[in-house]
Amino acid sequence: MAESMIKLRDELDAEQQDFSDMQQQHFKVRARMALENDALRNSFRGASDFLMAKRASVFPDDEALQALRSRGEAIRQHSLNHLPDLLETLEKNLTANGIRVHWAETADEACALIHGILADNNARTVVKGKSMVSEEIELNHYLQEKGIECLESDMGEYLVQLAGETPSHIIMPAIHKNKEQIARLMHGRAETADGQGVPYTEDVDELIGNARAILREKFMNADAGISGVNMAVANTGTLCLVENEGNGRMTTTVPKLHIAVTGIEKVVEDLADVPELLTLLTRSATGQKISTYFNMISGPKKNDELDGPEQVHLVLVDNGRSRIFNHPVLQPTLQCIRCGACMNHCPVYARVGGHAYGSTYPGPIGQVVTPQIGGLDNNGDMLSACSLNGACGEACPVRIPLPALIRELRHEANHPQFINAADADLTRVKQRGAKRSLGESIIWKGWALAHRYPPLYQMMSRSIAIGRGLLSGSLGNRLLAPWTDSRTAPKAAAQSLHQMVKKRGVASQPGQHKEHEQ
Amino acid sequence: MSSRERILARLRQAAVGDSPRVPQAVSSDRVWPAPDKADWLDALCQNLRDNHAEVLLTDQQTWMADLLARLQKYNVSRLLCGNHDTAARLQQYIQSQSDDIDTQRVTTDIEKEVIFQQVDAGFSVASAALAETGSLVIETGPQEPRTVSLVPPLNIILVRQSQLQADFSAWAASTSVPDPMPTNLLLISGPSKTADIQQTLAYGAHGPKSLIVVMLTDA
Repeated sequence: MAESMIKLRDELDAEQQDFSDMQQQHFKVRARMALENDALRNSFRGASDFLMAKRASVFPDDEALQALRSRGEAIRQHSLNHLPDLLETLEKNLTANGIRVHWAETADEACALIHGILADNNARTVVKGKSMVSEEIELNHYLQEKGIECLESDMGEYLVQLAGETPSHIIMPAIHKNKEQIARLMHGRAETADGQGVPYTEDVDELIGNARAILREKFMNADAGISGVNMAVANTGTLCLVENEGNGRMTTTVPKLHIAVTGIEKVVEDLADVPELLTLLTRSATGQKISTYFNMISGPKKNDELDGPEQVHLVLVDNGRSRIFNHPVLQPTLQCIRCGACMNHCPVYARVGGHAYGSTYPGPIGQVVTPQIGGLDNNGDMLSACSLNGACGEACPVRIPLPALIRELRHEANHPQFINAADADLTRVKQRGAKRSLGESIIWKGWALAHRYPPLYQMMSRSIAIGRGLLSGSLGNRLLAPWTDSRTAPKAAAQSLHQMVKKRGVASQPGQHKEHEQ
Repeated sequence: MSSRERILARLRQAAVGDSPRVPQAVSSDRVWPAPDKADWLDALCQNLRDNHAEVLLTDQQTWMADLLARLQKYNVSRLLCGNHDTAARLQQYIQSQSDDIDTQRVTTDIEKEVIFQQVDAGFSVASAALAETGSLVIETGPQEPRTVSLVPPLNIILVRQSQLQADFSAWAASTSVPDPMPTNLLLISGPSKTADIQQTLAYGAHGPKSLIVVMLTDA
């Protein structure tokens, strides 16, 4: 091997190590690391601007957009309002069509089910179409441990897998890499079926061509294909997949065995619900009127057909969704059609990127989904990565009130009553109250009190004015450090507004101070 | 209790709103204006071209000659067709006109090595086309295998102007929807593509690098 190749491979290994080290860090450390990485920030800024502009270009008429969003919301809410019935109808019709349906309560159960199906069919090699649920249940890792090769075939997912990383965006998984980084990665690690490497190139067409050649070989020979599902139509027993690349069709068409995996919320009642959700999805995600392929699967290959999988399975995954479904405020979380528009429009996501969140789903929808699936104790910190600016809520094609849901989760995280994974009460978020701290709650209690009683308020503002020298001194610095470490310290004025207007002769209105007093 | 029963029980426990069926978007109340019938053909062609497809506007009399010229330009030496009458006529025509193009109709199970490694182009027939998005509806089945429009580098799809519809909503509400659904129904709106490397568009990601739409106009 050439010396330069050894060096390149060592560098790639070191980068992969850096990535897994970073993933072990606390959320705040990851966010800081991301902010300090100029290349990463350029990638995300560029991608966010690009995707926002693309989306805007296919929604020229705001009135039509708002009306369409309302229809999307209505369709999704209707589906959720009838969710258990629709799931049963879906199961009945899929079964009649020859698609076998499996139910999994947890991630582990889903992985075990999928492994069971693969094992029953002696499947050793698997190609995968894009599926965020499979990332959520960490399927690749599970199958790898069972000795099954699981190859991602979406271009972005393939590159991310080659790098030993995780996706940083739900639609564009390799959005955090620029083409120079991808060129090094392909040259250093990609291998054709006969063990040959690929030449170094930064030309995107050539890079895609090299990956295409490698992956087509895999499609041809794979024992099984695993895909996600964008929508499942109950009345017809149909699984719908949205894609541009053709890898989804390859995955669901070429191998003898196709296993689809999806969250239980993805069901809609009728074919008539599909067109508007599809147009909202593709326009919001990538600014396309429609994706290159819309693939509707209603059964395995029939006897007189000449190709297609002999078996099709659907694994319905709960993994916390039935708990989300029971929450009185957070249920709209399940309206999501996974377009990624909320992350594209989020000013925080654009700066810290997808990996800082440390979760399968990043950005605003990730902040809402992840703590509900994994619990507030482990995942509650990411809720602070939001300025409540509302951009995500305005971009959401199905009108999920994301800012309100983030606020609700902050309340749940700071709830005085701690509940740990209480299965008994499904209307609560797992590990409610996990982020509550005594100090913080005392400060807020005092703050609220001061704003209720004017004399207390005046006393507070006066003591801040008197003690302002102290606050900017070393003691103050130490006290305020958690806030001022990454922010400019606020400077208290020598006089309060009240004092200043009083001095100018503006008198208090009689009785003003009495209003709130009992 | 099985997982299925436990999941359903938890879902049934939840308080949900009561919503009537969402009314279907048809004609006047649709929020997304569909193109006028007179504009369908233009809209379809424009959308397809925007998505990097080549549209061959032709008619019942000359389409096979027009297509043959395109096949020669693309240096196609092996063409794979479905098993329908249109394909039979095309095969006959090409055999009578050219010795360079081997045209085969699929009649037995498709061998993966052949279609992945030896076929240059696949010929499919659409059952409908959607103007608003520039999409072709393919109903796969014994006559129309799934891989013919997927694996070969050049994808050719024939459609008639009379099969045009305004958009997907109109199609879904029409009598064109097959019942029962075919095992695989596809909307195809261009050649395979990706923008996964630095948002740079590249064609031929996994499937066809090119798409030729043979549009048989009414005239």
